[in-house]
Amino acid sequence: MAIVEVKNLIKDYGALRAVDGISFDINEGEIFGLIGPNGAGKTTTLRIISTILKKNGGEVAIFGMRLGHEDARIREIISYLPEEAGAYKNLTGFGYLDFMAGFYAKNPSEKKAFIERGVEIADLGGRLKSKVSTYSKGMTRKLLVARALMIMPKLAILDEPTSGLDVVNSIEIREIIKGFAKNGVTVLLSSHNMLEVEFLSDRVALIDKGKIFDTGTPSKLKEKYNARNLEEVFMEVVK
Amino acid sequence: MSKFTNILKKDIKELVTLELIVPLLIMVVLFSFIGNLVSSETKKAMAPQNIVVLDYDNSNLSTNLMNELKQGNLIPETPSVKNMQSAIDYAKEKGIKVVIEIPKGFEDSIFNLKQPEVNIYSVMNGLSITSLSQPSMVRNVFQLLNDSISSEFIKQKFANVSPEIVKNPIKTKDFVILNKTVAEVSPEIVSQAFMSQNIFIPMILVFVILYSSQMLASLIALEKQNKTLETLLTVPIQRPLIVVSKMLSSGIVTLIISVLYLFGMKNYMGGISGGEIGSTQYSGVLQKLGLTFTSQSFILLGISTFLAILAALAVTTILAVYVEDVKGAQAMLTPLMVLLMIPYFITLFTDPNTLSLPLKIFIYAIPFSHPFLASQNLLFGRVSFVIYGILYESIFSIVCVMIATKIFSSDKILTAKVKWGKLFKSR
Repeated sequence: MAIVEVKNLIKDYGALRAVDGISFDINEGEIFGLIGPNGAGKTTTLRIISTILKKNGGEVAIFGMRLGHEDARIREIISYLPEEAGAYKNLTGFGYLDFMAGFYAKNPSEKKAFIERGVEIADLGGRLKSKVSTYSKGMTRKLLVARALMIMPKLAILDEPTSGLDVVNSIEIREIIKGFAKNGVTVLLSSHNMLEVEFLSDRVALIDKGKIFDTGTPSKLKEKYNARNLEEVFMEVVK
Repeated sequence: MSKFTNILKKDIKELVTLELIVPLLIMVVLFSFIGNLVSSETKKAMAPQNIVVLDYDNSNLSTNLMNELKQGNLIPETPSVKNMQSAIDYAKEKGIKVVIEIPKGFEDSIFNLKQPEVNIYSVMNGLSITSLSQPSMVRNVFQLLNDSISSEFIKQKFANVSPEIVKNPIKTKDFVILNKTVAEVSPEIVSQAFMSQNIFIPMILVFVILYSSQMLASLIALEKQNKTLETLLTVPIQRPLIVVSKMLSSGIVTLIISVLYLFGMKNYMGGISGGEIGSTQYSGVLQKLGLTFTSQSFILLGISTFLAILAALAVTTILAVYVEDVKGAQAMLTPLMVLLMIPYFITLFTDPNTLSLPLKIFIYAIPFSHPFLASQNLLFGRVSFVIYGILYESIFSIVCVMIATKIFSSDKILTAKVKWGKLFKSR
């Protein structure tokens, strides 16, 4: 069942059309990847679905709720991880998780459960008691991924989730994302790392210059374009 | 805990940093220290001080002069020295600041109306209060003596006339009329009394508006600089509450800082004025003229001040949307600072109601002018001006808050930025 329906989505920045009538669906529990180069319109699409930016045209429905009409309700079930995100430097890692859990938890015990999950995902041990200003880029990213997933959102929107992480941490985070999807969290992610998306995603959409060129499972796309990996698929599609 | 309390607590934590607390505490301690230092110096200057007197006359009148000096808290020492230089050396050695030389024939010259010259030498080692106050005290004694001797001369010439009448044939009497009340006092005294009791109001007002605006601008700019804004905009809390939280946290922190600042300033001013600032010495004059705030005046002044702060914060929110970092936020506040300083200085040096019509309109159009104008208008019975001002401030604040929340709910919060190069590019 499609829980995210995007139809003819358009976004203009002045005279520039950043998203040009794209359409795709995401099924419940699925990991859906948007792949494309820098400036393809991936981040703009994620920002629109995350209720940050207003669309100029088209329709988006998330769990049946219409974007632009029921944004407050949509925000209660989604969690967005921006590509270039940061955390409040004056707070400790633990304080940051506590602050963010405060927006989603309905009662103290739920909040406690969220924080415990966040602590587990972040896996920063005693450093969670240190201020975020002392964290490395990788540590901050792990904290942010933990923040995005700890509330068990119905839809996790992850923009370049492993950006800034080393190989070991990237693999760890990919496994965590896969695990969450198995537990019912639907994931929409974007990346220009096509190999990562190939590993993670159930289905992908190839996007460039604001348009989606093709959508499908990585294996079917590779078969269709007679390619060894998604990078080769992409090059074939945008040729 | 509500979502609003959650974000408010975080915003306050963002503002109350060591970088804020340490300079603030240093300022409070420093102000108190300087106040105490000046106060103890003043007390020292007012205590009985030794001076050196070289009396070459040894007459009744010179002895009388020395008694007068004693009355004026100056203790004359008469060392047995040969000349003026030795007297100065003696004074320097003993740390005495003033040497008086009474010439031979002092008394005779006075009685023969030849105006003898008394030299007063001040030993200056710096610009301390003691160095400056002692010669002044000596001159006061001579002034009293001159007055007393001249009165004696007048008495001798005009036996039935008061010397006071001869010295001042015309006597003036000052009255101040305020609304329907008349009081026997000079306008300078009224102005001084008013200033002494209300000196802190505009100062604190400027401080509160500027400080809270800067804090708010930094808070919004920090969200952008630290890349936390995008995430914040997706959490389930109404956008207007994000704006209100930032405005309220800046207001709360500024209020606490203002109390500390006022405490330090009070200690400082109390020290340099000997505790006379804001004292009740003039309150009688002000009360007689009705120049005191009633509880209704305080309420109106409070509302006007609150609305001015709200207007400034709303304008700041709108301006801060266009910046990308904390440095940019400070630069963006320059127009606000100018609009704040104009009414501050104008109300400090003049009555805006006496200005030309275009200038008056300009001043009244600045929403931050109204609390500055309110105290004078309330005291001088122009209550309707204050009420109209409050109405104007309310409309301005509501419109600005609506614009600010609308911007926070739109793409502009992420996409708007000022391109300084384009702004200043010559056409």
